[in-house]
Amino acid sequence: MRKIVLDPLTRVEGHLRIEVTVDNGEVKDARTAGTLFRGFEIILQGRDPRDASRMTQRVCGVCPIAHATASTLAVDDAYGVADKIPDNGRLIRNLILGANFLQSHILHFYHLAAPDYVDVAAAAGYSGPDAGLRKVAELVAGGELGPFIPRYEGDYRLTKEQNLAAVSHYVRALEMRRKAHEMLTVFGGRMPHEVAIMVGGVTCTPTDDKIAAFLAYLSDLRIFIDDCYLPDVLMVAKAYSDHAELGTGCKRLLTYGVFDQKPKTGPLGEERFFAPGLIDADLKKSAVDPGQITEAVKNSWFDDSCAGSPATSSTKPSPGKDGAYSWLKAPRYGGQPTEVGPLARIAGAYADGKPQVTALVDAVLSELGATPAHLFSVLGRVAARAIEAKVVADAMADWALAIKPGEPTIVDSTAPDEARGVGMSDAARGGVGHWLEVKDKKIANYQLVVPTTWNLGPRDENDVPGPAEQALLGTRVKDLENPFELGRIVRSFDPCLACAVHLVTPRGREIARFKVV
Amino acid sequence: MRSVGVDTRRIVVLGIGNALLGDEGLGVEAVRRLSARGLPADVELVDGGTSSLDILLSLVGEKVSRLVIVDAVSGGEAPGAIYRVDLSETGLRGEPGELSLHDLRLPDSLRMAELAGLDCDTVVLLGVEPARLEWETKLSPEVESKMDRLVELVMEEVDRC
Repeated sequence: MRKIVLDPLTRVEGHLRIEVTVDNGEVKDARTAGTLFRGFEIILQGRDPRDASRMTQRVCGVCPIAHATASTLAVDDAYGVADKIPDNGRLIRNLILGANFLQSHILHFYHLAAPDYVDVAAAAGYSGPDAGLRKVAELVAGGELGPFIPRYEGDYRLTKEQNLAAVSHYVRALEMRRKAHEMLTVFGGRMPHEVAIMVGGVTCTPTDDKIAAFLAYLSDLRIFIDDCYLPDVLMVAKAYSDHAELGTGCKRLLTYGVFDQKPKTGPLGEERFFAPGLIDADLKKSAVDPGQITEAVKNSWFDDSCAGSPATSSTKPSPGKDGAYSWLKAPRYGGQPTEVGPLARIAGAYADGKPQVTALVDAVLSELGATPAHLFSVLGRVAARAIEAKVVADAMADWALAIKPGEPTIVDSTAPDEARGVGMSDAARGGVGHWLEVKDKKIANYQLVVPTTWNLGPRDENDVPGPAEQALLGTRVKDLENPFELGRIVRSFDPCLACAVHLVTPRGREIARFKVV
Repeated sequence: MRSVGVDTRRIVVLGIGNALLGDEGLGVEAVRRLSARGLPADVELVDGGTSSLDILLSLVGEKVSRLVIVDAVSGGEAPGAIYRVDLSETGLRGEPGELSLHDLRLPDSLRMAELAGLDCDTVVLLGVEPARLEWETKLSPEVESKMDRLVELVMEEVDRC
C-alpha cells in the first residue's frame, strides 16, 4: 500500500491536490481536493449587479469570458431582458466566447497536455530551417526545460519525426493563441478581461471592417486547426490507443448548452449551437432540469447549511470541519456525480445527430478502431476538444457574417429593486452557472458553480466519489515513482489550476539576495 | 489600457496578479496607481490579470527595450519586502515540482513567449512579499505601506531606459 500525492502548485498555496492510494499496482482510493477557499462570492455582496461580470472574469486566467457570459446572462434574467437581446448582441457575444474556446483548447492540447505525450528532447541538436525548433533545441541544450516539466520519461511513443512535428506546432500554437486573443479584442475591446459583454447585449459597434478583421484572424485559426491540431491529436491517439480505456469516469455527462442561436427564453436558452442535455453511459440524451442541480458539503470545508440548490445556498467557510478534505463543494445532478466539459457537448451533439459532429467523431473512432463507448476516456476528452475547436471555428465564420452593421447591439435596462437571476452556459472546460439575488438594486447573494467543481469536487453526502475521483479509481500504475497515468487522467479534465494564485516563487535563497529597501 | 497591436512601444510595465485575492493583486494595483500619474508617452501600462502568458505573447512582434514586471513574489523575506531581479541577467527558474501538472508559472511563461519571438532587451521583475492571500479587494497593511515605494521603483526603472 502506498500513497501518491500530486500537488500541482509548488507555490505558497496549492490550488488542487490529488491523493491516491495504490495497492498491488492499482488505485484503490482517490481524493481530489481544492486547497484554496473559493469563497470570493462574498466580496460581490452589496455591489451593483453589473459589476459581477467585470469581477468574476478576474477569477480565472483561462476562462474569463465564460464567467462574463454566465454572469451577464444572470443579470439579463434579473433585469428582465434575457429574451430581448438583439441579434447583433447575441452573435457578438457568441464570437467573443468562441474566440475564448479556441484559445483554451489550443492551450490545453499543445501547452498543457502535449508534454505528457510528446518528447521535447527530440529537438536536441536540431539545426534545420524551423526557427521555433531551433529555439527549443537551445532550451534543451541549456537544460531549460521549465515549460515542459514534468517529463514522463519512459512512456514517449512517437517517432522522432512525429515528435519534431509536434514540437514545431507547439511553438506555432503560441502564435495561434495570440491570434485568438487579438481576434477576441476586435469586439471584446481588450484581453484577457473583455469589456463589451453587458446586460442587454454588447457595447461595441460592429462595422464591416471589424467583421473583416475578425474573419482574417479566424481564417488563420481554422487552417491551424485543420492542418495541425486535429492531425496531431489523431497522431497522439493512435500511438496511445490504450488510453481510450484509461480514466473512464462516471459515464454521466452534463452540458447546459452554449452559443445561443435564438433569443433566449429560459435559463438553458431557446436554441443553442450545442444543445443542453444529460448524456448517459449508452450515449442517450435527456433534458436538463436546473432544479436537479445541488451541492453537497459533507466532505467540504463549509458549514452544513451551505448544501442544497445554488439558487438559495450560501458560502460559510468551516475550516477544520471533521472529515472534510476539500475547499470545493460537490455539485450533483439528480443526486449523482456528473462530468462536464467538451466531451459532454460532443457526446450530446453526437446523440443529437448533429451532422458536422457525427462525421468527425465517426472518422476519429474508425481511425482508432474504437467504439462510441471509448469516448468515456482520456483520449475521448482530448479528441472532443479538437473536434469541438473545428466545429466551433467553422460556425463562427457564419455568425460573423450574420452580423448586421448599423442595427442595434444592446437594449436598455434598469436595475430591479428585487429579483433573482440565473445564468447558465458552458465554458470551454464545462458547464458554468451563476446564481444572483438582487435586493435594493444591489447584489444580495451570488453563487457560482464552475466546471472544476463539477469534475474535481469531492465525495458527496453518501460518500460517492466525484467524476475525476472515479476516473482515477482502478487505474493500473506501472511505476509509482512516475505515475504518468494519473497525471494524464487528471489533465484530461482540463482542471482549473493556476487561476487563483499567481505568486512567483523562485528558489527562496536565490531571490532573497535581490531584496531592495 | 492596451488594445492589441496599435501602439509603438519602448517600455512596458506589466502588472500581474489576481485583484480579488488580496496581496496577490499588488501588481495590478501598482499599474492602477501608475496610471493616475503622468507617464511618458512611450511607456505602456498593462493590467495583465492572471494571464501572464497571453499578455507576454501580445508583446511579440514589437521590439521592447525594457519590460518591467510587477508581481507578488514569495522570496522568504518578511511580508512587505521588495525584490528587484534583472531577469535578463540572472534568469529565473521556478522549482520544478517533479509531479506538478505543467502549471504555467511566470518564468515558464517568459520562456514560452521567447519561443514565440518575444524580444525584450531587458526584463526586470519588481516584487513584494505578500502578507495575505485571501478573497478581498484590499491590500494588507504590510503591503499597502510599501506601495508608494514600489511605484517609485517602477518610475526609476522607466527613467533608467
